[in-house]
Order: sequence, then structure tokens, then C-alpha cells
Amino acid sequence: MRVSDAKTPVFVQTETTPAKSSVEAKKGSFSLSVNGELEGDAEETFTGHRAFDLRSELREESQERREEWLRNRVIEMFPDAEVTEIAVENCDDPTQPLRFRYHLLAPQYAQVAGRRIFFHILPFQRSRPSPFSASERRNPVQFPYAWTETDAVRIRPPAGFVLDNASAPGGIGFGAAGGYNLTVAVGDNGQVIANRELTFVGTYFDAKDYPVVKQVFSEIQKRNTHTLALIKQ
Amino acid sequence: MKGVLLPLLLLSTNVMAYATNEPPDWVRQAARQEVPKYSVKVTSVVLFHEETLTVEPDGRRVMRERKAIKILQRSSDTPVATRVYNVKSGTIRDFQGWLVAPSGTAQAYEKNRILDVALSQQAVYDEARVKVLESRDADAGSIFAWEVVEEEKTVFTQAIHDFQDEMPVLVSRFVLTLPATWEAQGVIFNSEHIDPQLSGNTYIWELRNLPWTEREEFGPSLDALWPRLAVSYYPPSGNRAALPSLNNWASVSRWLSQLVDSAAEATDPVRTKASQLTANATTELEKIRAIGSFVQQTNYVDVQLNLTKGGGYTPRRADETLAKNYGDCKDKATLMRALLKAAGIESYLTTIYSGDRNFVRPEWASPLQFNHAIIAIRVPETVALPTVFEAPGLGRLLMFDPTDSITPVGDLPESQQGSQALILDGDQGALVRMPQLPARASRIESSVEAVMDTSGRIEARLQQEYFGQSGKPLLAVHKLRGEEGLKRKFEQVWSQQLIGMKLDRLEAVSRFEQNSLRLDARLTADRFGEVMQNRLIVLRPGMLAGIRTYSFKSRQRTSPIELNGALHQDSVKVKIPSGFKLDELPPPVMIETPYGTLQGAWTLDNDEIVFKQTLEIRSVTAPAAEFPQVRDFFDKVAGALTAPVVLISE
Repeated sequence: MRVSDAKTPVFVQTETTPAKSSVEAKKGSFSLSVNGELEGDAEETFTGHRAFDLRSELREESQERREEWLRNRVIEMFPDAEVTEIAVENCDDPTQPLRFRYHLLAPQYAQVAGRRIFFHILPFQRSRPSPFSASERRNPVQFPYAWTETDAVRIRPPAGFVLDNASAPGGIGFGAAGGYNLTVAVGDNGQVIANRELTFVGTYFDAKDYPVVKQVFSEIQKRNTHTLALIKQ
Repeated sequence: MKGVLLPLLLLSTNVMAYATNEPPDWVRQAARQEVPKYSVKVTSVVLFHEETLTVEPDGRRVMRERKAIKILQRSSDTPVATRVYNVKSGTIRDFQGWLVAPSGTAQAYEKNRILDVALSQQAVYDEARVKVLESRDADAGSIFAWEVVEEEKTVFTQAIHDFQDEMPVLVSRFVLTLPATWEAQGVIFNSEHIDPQLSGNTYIWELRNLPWTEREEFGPSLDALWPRLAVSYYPPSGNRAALPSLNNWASVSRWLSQLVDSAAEATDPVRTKASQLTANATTELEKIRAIGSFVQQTNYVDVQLNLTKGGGYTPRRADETLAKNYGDCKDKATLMRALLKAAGIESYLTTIYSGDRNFVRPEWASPLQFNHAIIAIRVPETVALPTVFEAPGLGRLLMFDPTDSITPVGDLPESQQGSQALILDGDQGALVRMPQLPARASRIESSVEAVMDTSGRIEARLQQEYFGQSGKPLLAVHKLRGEEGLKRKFEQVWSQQLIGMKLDRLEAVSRFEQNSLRLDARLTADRFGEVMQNRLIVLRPGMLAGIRTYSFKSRQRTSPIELNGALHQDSVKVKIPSGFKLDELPPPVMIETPYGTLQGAWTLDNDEIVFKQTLEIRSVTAPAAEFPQVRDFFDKVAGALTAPVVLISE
């Protein structure tokens, strides 16, 4: 940025917003049925640039259209889902976090295989692909801003089922670019509790660093799609 | 004298300014209508739409269009007023637009808001242009209205009125006024038959309360679903404008044949080229292939000239297209006809609708139903290809589209298969249904051999061969963007379902005459098997079999489901890592439905998990009422692709 001055104009680098100012936070409390259906309440909250991006998309739309947009967005994540009690809040108030709420019924969320049921522990992340599919790249990678993602999910297994050889993939650090952490715990009544946090502060990478960036997002995707097995007691 | 006139002129200007700002009565009247409650997806409704066509004895036509749209909710889809015209055959005499705010305050649009742009972005030069008026800044509750008057000189004695487009409609009307002694006949598609109201020699067709139509996956094009009126009018024989009376398909064929046949003359340059091309050909099919390949290489450039005299349907002379090495679909088909004629092979230009096999309706004989030209080649019994068929009265014909540069002789683009086309042969010409190729002609054969380690990572060799239309999307990428583009596409598609996928090598071999594309890939995927506590590995062999192409987002359906025939034959072998053994296999799948069949089985063969699947999609148009069954079938197909196999440590 150039700061004008009649005698000594100067160029200064503008500050970038920290990752904690652009947060995408997702919460859900669900139950899983014996035929693999996932049902429960979900809430997604967005701040900073993340909220701005979504508000830009929704700005021209009526409240009804915004809710329809949200319904379609959820169905993209959970094909065949029934989405009810939809609420889009604070879309026109940039001083508040943008918030989506809905009740979800997602058939065939988990897969039933003989005695076991396999399910993803991060419902909001499982269908999110890595942004990098090409094996090579000629141009630098540039993210528009630093950001943070958090997921707090509780999934209650069907009665009579317990975890089978459960594991947690753990976290990874990306050095100065940020880090990822995923914890999995078992709460009351066998409820599976997953907490995830991704912080990404690197916004520019030379093309020569592309293999590393690709690998990082591939590792993130692996953890985002972590599966647990339940077995009938 | 000037001094006397000036005050009158000023007065007149003021009145005009007032008159143009205040919308006409028809707008105010339309605005008073009660609007029903629509789906949230509907952003605007057409309150009133009227096209009034007045035909003069010499065939000239004046079309006045009036339309009023109510904006129901703010959205990024801004309503736009458009009128297409041809610079040689027509003029826009007048174009006015108004925006009425929810408060009732009206504003006329300035003339400089009306843009005049070329209709086609691809055409080098095109006489077709369009006037455009955008309704910017229209709040919910506003009414956007316009009136346009077009004058046209044409040889056509037919017209189409679209009662509907993307919006629901309250009133839509077509008014036709003919000279005395002329007659008209109309047919309405996609709606119940209605008789026109007749007053003198004015005919009025009107439909009301047309609901909104939602775009749906694997559905017909919306153009083929919306109600439309097709009108033919008949001047008395011997009329001074020499206008044709198109009352059946033979008359359309006769009229178009006289526009197209003379251009297909086998002149000396054409004969010389035909001799060169067929010098090494020993059979008739070889000659057709040699000529077909050459014409496919001729550059496609759309130039529409002289529409006044049927120019949109008149090809350039074949020797001119040959010399310039470019032309549009009818030019290319005509060049091929001329070259075939020089080689002693008879053929016919054929008009077709490219884009939807159900669009053309036999009950209305009109060239206006088509948007593309291909070729029908008369062939002997020795030529046996899936695109050969027996056309009543025309004999054994081979259909071919020389504009499609990636579909060889013996195949037809998917959207043309099974569709109605008019073969032009003077009085003998006929509307016939194009051959529908069997699913086997569009098959994909896939074979994968993979080795998995104890971390779930696989190294795999994937060989796929695409036949017929199944390979066209990839071939198009290959042709436009080369090996690199194809590799990108492959990576993009497969990385959606194979986590941590890395493509090590991809070889593509296109065998044009065999109509196939073969891919040979070597790849790795870090998380193909999901490992749990080093004791269980879950893998989904079907994820290596193919890409999920068929999916339906909605649970409801209003339009028919159009499926194109295809056959997938997949074989996947995954070597089990040492220290692990099989714990659970999915049960075999065997489903037979009117929409397709699926046979799938998972077996253990020594230390390999073997998955074999045959999926056949039938070429059918299923009514919307059958949607639950169609969807259930494709859910099961998707289920087979993701069915898990469980391995356990020994």
C-alpha cells in the first residue's frame, strides 16, 4: 500500500488478519441408527473473511432463498438428507457471526457390513475433497486469507453396539503454516466425541513447494474422513 | 414560420416525456392480477405475455410483443427483455421498457439502456442480432414490462410461440392476423389441445396459469417440456410472394431440397478431391470413411447469411467450402454429399434437432423444429454398422454427422440417437427416427490390479477402454487440451473418490476408426484401506471400478427421466497385505429393472479380493411417476461401489 505524502511517500505492507479472525466452526449432536441413519441438530458459525465470502453469495437473496440455498448445501454434503428447522441468522448484520442451524436426517450415512457399522466421525468434513488434485503445478499457491476451522461433534451409537478397534489419527503440524488436531473420545452412554481444529496461516507458496502443500491437504483429508467401526455386542 | 412551430414542438416533447414514463394500460392491468404462492425457488412471474403477428399479403410480417414480469424476490437472476432479429430481413421498429416500483411509481427506461448485440459469440459474422434490456435495480414487488415491434420480410409461413420459459406464467397469448382468404392451423405441444378464438381473420391462442418447471437431473431439456404453439398459415396457391405452403413433411422436404441440392454439385475440384481421398479405398465403406474423415477436419465456422430467402437453410456451394476449408453444419454435410456423389455414392442432407431426442414432434411439419444438419448415405447390404437402418421409401441408409469431429462413421452423437430427423429427398423425403445404438456400443471396460500394504496404501494399474459415446467427453478434453489436459481431468475426477491419490503415469491411445479410447494409468492412493488399530482394514474395491455418474439430489420428480444406454464391465483385484486375512465380504448383487441391470460379486481368490461387476443402463425415457424405482436402482448401483470388505489381522 502506498501512503501519500508530498515529500516522502512510503510503501507499507498491509497487515493480514490472523487465522482466529476468520473462523468456520461446526457443531453437531447426532445419533446413529442400526441401518446407518444419522440424525441430530447442527450449527455452523462463520466469522471474518469466511463470513464475508458467504454473505457476498447470499447478499442479493431473500431470506427464503437463503434457507433454500442452505438446504441444498447440506444435501450436497449429505445426499438424500432431510433438512428441517433451517435458520440462517445474521446474514445482514456483519457485526455478528453468520450462523446456520438445521436438523438433519441423513440416510445411509454409515455403512452396515455384516456385524459392523462403519461411520465417519466428522460428518461436516467427510465429503470435502482436497483442493489440490493435480500432481504438478506451474503457478504459486495463494490463499486469500488465513483461517481456522473447528468441529465439535457428538455421535451416539445405536443401542447394543460398541466401538471396534477404535483409533484416532491424531494431529499434524505444518510448521509456520499452521496445524491440525483431531481428538476422539468416548463419553457417557458410549457417545463418540470428536474435536477437530485446523489453523492455516500460510497464504502464499511458491510452485516448487506445491508437492508439500498437496501432501498437507491430503493428510488433512485423510484425517477428515477418519472412520470408526461399531460392532454388535 | 419557425417561430410559430417552436411552441408546438416543445409542447409535443413534454407530452411524449410524460407518455413514455407512464406505462400503458396493459401494464397497469397486468399488475392488478393476483399472484399465487410459488416455490421459494421462483424469483419472478410472468403476469402477461402477448405476441401479435400480422402478416401482409406479400408475406411481410409485423410482430408486436408485450411482456410484464413481477419480481417476487431479490435474486441474482435479473429478468432481461430480449428480441432476436435479422439485420437483412428485419428491423426493430420500436422498443420501450418500464419499471413500476412496488409503490406504483413508474419509470420508463432510456433508449440508451437498450443494447444491440450479436446473437452468436462463436460466429465470425452473423446477421442474427439481439436487442437487450436489463431490469437492473428492481426490488421485490416491482414490475418490469416492455413492448417491442419487429418488422420482418421472410419466406417462412410458420411461427412458434413459447407460452413459457424459466418463470411461471399467468397469461400468455399469441394473436395471428392474416390477409383475407388465408388460413392458419396451430398445434400446441406439452399442453392440452385448445381451439383458437377466431374473429374475422384473426386467430388467438391463450394459456393461463402455467406452473413453474424445475430443471432436473437426467431430464429432457426444458424447451421440450414447456408449452409451445406451432402455427402454419396457408396463402392461396399462386400467391404473389411465392410463399410455400408447408402442410406435410413431404412439402417441407420438397421446399428444403430445392434450397440445398444444387449446392452439392460434384464440380471438377470436388471430383479431384474425391479421387485423392478414395485412391486407396477398395470398398464403399472405405470410401465413405475416407471422405467422412476429411470433412470432419474441415473447420467449423457458423456464418448465417441471406436468411430472407431461406439463408438459414441454404448451404454454401460444396466447391466453395472445399476451397475455403470452413463451413457450418449444412456446409459440411453438403461438401460430403458432393464428394460422395463424385465417388458414385448417393446421399441426402438430413435436418435434425441436436440436444434432445424428444424435441421434434411429427405432428407439425416444419423446418423450424431443427437446429442441425447431418447426412444420410445410401449403402448396400455389405455395409453393416449400428447406424445403418432401413428408411421406408428411401432404402438402406447410413447416418453420419460430419460436424462432430470425434464421432466416426458407424456412430452418432448421443443426443441425435433415437431422435426424429427429416431426410431431404424432394417429394420422397420423410421424417424418420434415427437409429438408437445398443448399450454395448457405448461400453466401458475397466480392469484394475492393485497391491495394498498394511497402511492401507495401494499401488494400482488401471486400464480402461471407452467405446462409442462413453469416451466422447474424455476425447473432447484430449483433443482440446492434449495429454496434459487429459491427465488433469483424470486426476480431478479420481481424486474425488481416492484419498491421497497420486497419478504416476497415464497413457491414452485413441483409436478413431475403432471408436475407442484406451487409458492405461498407474497410480497410488494413500488411504484406500482404512486401518483400525492395526487390526482391521476396511476397503471398498468398487471405488476403483468407476466413477459415480448417476445421482439424483431431489426426492421429488416432475419431469421424465431420460437415460442413455451404456454398459460398464469392471474387474478389480486387490492383493491382501501379508499378516491380514478376509473377515467379511459383501453379499453378491443381482438387480434387474426396466432401467438397467446390475450384477456384482466379491470373492476371495488366494490372497486377492476380486470384485466383478456388470452394469447395463438401458436407453429409456421413464415417466416421472417411476422416479422412486429409478432412484432406488441407482442407489443400489452406488451402494455396490462403496460396499466395504473387512480384513482382519491374522
